[in-house]
Amino acid sequence: MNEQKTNFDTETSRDDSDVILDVRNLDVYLNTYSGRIHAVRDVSFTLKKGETLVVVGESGCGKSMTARAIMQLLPEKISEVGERSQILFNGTDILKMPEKKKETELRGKYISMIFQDPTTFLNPTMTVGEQIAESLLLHSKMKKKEAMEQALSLLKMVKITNPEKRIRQYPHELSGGMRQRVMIAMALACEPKILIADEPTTALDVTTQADIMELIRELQEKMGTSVILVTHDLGIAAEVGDRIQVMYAGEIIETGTKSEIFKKAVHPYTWALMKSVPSAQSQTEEKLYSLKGTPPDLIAPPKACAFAPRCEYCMGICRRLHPVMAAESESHSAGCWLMHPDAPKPEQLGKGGTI
Amino acid sequence: MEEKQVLVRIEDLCKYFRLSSKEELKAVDHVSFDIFRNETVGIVGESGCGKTTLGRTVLGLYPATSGRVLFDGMDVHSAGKREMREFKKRAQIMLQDPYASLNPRMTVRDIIAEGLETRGNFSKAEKDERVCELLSLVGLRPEYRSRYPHEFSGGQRQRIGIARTLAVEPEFIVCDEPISALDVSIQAQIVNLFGELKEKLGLTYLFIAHDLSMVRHISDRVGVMYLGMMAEMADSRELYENPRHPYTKALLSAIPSTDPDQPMSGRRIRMEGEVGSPVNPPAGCRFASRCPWATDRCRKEMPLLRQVAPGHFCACHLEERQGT
Amino acid sequence: MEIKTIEELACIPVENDDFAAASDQDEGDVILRPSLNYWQDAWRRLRKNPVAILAIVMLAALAVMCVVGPGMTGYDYDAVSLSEKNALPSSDHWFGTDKMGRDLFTRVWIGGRISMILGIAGAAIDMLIGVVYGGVAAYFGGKTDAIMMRIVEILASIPYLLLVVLVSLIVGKGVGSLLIAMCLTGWCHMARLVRGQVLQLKDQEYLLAAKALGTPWYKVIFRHLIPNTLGVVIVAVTFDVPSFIFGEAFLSYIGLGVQAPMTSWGSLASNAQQTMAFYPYQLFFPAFFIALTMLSFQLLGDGLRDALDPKLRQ
Repeated sequence: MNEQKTNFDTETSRDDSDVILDVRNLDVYLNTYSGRIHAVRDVSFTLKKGETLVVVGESGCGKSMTARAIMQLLPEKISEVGERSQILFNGTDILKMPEKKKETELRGKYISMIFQDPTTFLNPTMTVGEQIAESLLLHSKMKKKEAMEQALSLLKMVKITNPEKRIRQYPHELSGGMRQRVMIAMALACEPKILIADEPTTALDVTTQADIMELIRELQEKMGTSVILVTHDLGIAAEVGDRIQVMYAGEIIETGTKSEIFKKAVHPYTWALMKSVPSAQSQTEEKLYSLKGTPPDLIAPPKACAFAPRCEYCMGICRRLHPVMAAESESHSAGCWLMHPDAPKPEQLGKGGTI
Repeated sequence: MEEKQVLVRIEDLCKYFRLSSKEELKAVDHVSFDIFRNETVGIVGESGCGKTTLGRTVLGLYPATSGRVLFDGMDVHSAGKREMREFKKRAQIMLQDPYASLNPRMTVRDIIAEGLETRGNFSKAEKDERVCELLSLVGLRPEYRSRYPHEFSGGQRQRIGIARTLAVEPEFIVCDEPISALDVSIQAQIVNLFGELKEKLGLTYLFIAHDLSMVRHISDRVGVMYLGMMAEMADSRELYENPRHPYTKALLSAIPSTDPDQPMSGRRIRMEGEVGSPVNPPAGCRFASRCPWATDRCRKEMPLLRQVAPGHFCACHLEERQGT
Repeated sequence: MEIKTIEELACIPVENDDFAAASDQDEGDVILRPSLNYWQDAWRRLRKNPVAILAIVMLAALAVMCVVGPGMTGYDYDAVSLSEKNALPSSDHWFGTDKMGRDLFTRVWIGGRISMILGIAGAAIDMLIGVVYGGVAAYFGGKTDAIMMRIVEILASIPYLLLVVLVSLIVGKGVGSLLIAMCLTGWCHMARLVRGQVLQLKDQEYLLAAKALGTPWYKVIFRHLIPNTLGVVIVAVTFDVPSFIFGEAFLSYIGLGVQAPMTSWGSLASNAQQTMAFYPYQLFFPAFFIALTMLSFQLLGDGLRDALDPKLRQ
């Protein structure tokens, strides 16, 4: 990496904690024609160096908006970030950075993003090599020739077959999986500290999906990058995540390490998510578990628990008060009234039995 | 199941798209299988394997290049106008994209009524009543029938699509990836709805999807397609527990596991090489370029779909040798 | 978002039935957003666009003036008054008079009637022919489409001035022949536009669904295709009106259009041009209203495009 001293690097040396990203009280509003949507509601979390945080949730739960807010790529004009919100990258609030600095120093260099659909983010009129080289030239003082060489080694790193040929090809000549690899090569060109992957495999076939996930994990181990992976697929979360964060209706409703979420989850929504995925290994002949209803419309966010109308363990308090995030363990917390010491056991309430 | 009665018989069906004078895209290539009454046959495969084309050709929405589709004894592709109209009342399609499959300028009532009109003439009141019945059948509030599709969520729209299909009162429905655009919890709702409707109305489905685990859940039998060919077909339990074709094995091994203690990386079968193209495909087995066990014979000679166990069909040379 | 401990959770005051299972409330799947159809939605967006609203107001004012304007002064549009030739604008003649002493204010609004009617009628005819022709060509596709589009290309390649001269030779000069001549080729671009739109729509899944349901072709065209192209067509029509007005002005200017004593904005401008150096106001008024009308239609078209474009929907 080229060594240009910025405040990020100095902050790192002073602050020796291993938290690289600290999101505090993030609120994102979208002003649409139908009204003001509170898309992300008071979300706080931290990301440690070298770890993979998976954000799981259904469409419209605010997971993508959270990722875009970190990247400062929220839809222009219509989006608005709450006043109390802070996104601290190595101790610096990126929400207060001037736009130009975000452009040159933050995006691509320290934080990179890969998207669900690589086609829309690759320029169809430039070859793959030129595009990777361009992102290198933007952030370092390399010469064009050096950049092209670097691009080739990046393509080798992401294991594209026949990289010498691919570097001169245009995006449309590549398959979906290969395009995603090119995106990853571009995102990792400047060895960013954080890689945000927004549903990187949703548009791909299962076998390609498995390849891409393996690649991300491998590169992460090699480069020590922290990864925020946004997905709706619990299977992916189980495969790659260190920590998992479940979002619903713009809020984090449960967060914990992988084993805590998969083995000791406390929020009924997390249970429901796990139950509604049929497993290809186990044989289940009976009906699939399914949640009733649909998530709330965040044009009028519910005052009490957002999940209450769909929850089979719903209690009186759930309709009255907003749940409070409480810690089960140091790394595991959730926002559900079932955690209250006076609350009955879920088995006593549920109509559908236990997990 | 009691006496199995064939509802749809697909015989040696081919659908080629001519791209230029030299190039031909073999989207569906010599596919044969039967669908029994009140059965769900699942078709899985990666994008571009021809599963969508298969579904549409079975319904006669695309003309077939060769081969036949017999629906209750009637050849779909040589049917006359009146027979075709009759056929359309009995066989329907459910589409993937809940956003593109509903006309944005029509109210939900009009969308569903479009399906009703094919059944004959109804008075306005009758139509309205039937629309309400259908909406409650698919679990939507009848009050919302004068709203427009964009006001509904993806899952709700898919329900509207189901109601439109059911308005025709079909016996056979080709479901073309009806759940892949939906969220996990909504997918389960829709899959259950399909199951319930099958029981209640005695429906038969051809269920096309790329999500292997959902297909297993809903299907009685599953077929795996690869570049226009049927690679393997068996009862769903048999296929998932005892896959024979290397491609099926690779597909199954790539499903992410929801059990963090059993990551897929340990059991994964990696496929080498690049996906072939259905445009002017090679002479041998189409999977040979990616198959870890491919031999010279696989590259030269096309394997045929043959029975390897009762009700279990597989198109692979290796399997044949193991069998003998 | 702050994280509390379980002990802190216990300190939150609770009510009696807080921990009893809640009764089933069937509140799922309620839609909160107001129900709006496409046109209501588009109108809501148009309303928020001040430029488009200004254009509508101006067009409305112009239309009202074209209706009532000629009657306001008490002069006939063709009343010649030799004593008041080339009078400057005054309290008697608000826009002055022309070289034959006719009141310009009256003539401007009479001319406006012709220009506006011609513009709107021309655009409407274009739309009708274009939508049907383009829609049919695209819907049936294949050879039908190829033949129909070749005809359009041949028509569009005939020089427009030549057509006008020919038509005026056969039908005679006047508004009618002007309209016929302009519409003869004018609908071609509308047909192309609609064809393009329909071809795009043909890939939409709801058409496949309609086909699978066995909906007859005429219903497919009228229920699915036309309503979904209407937005684009309306925008195109809005841009079409000023081109007709300008076309009329141009043809009248070179003497092929409306014949005296009837007038239009174009022929008013044409007449005034000869004496422009001495009486510039005679040219100014018709030219100003041509410009204002065209500008208003252009601005309205822009506003409509923003309001009707489904891609901008949120």
